[in-house]
Amino acid sequence: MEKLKVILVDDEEEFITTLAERLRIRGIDTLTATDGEEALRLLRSDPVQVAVVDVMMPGIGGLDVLKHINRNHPAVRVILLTGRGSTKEGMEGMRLGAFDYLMKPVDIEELIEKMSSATSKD
Amino acid sequence: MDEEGRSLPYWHAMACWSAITASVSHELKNVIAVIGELTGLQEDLLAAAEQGHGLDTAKLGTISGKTQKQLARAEAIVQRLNRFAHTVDEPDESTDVAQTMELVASLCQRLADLGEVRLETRAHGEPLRTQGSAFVLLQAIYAAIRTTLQGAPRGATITVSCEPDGDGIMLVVEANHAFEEHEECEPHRSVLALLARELGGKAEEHLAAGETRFVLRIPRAV
Repeated sequence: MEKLKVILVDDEEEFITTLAERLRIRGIDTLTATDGEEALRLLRSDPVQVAVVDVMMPGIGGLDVLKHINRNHPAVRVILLTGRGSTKEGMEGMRLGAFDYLMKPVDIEELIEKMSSATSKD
Repeated sequence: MDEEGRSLPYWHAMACWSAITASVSHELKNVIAVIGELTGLQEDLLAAAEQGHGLDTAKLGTISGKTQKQLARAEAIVQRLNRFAHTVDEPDESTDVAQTMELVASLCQRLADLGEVRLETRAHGEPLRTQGSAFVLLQAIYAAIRTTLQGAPRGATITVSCEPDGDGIMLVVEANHAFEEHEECEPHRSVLALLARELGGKAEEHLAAGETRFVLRIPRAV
């Protein structure tokens, strides 16, 4: 089975660097980007199977990153992260083509499960 | 007034309250998420040590330091929220204008960050106090910041300042970009004059020729 490769996109740098370290411990190749522009730049040179994207970010917001990925990297599945207490943003993201969404704080096992389901549908 | 007799300042007060508490709760969620990952990483390292991989004590120390930093960040956020909540305690009190200005700016920082806008404050050296509701003052500053923020391009700077103005106080929210009318900022803009009047003062708009400047002239408490 191909090794899972993902990108975490969130302006909360400590959050993504720590989560990335934990995912690498679990054998998942993980890239990080602290804004949408950096993520899109990385995706052009370093393809991944799954992008985990925070909805609320400075600059290009998560939903715009999602639209860009859908348009330019259709093979990449997007899982959105939302800090809102409601499911509103997540549902909006799924309407726009996100594979799924998770609320912060994240349960790492649940995240890995969603990443695996995202890639197994290929 | 709407059919139930509620006025624009009422709705604006609720909108201000809702936007600020939502923003603060997002900030806290982020801190909780970081602490969650740091403790998760600590558990991963301990689990690895139990399986005979050795315990990286330096790494544990780093995690502990990062967790402490996040706890201090959470404490500062909660303190801001607490100061904000207590602005409604007294409808008529002597309020430090510079401190209220700093509080509103810190509460709006996340909104500014999301728009990639720099939000600065500049207080006058001497204490400036006004008599009235601290919440109404906060709401007025918030309304001026939100109106200015709405059309601000990436990289713009918004400055909030206060200084003596004759017998009164002049509070200014200004930006280095031309004002753009936005449907979303209209409720903030239109309530400004009403709030200034409630503080016993008046509001001015200076929006000509690339200028974005909102001025509140309010009485100074003796």
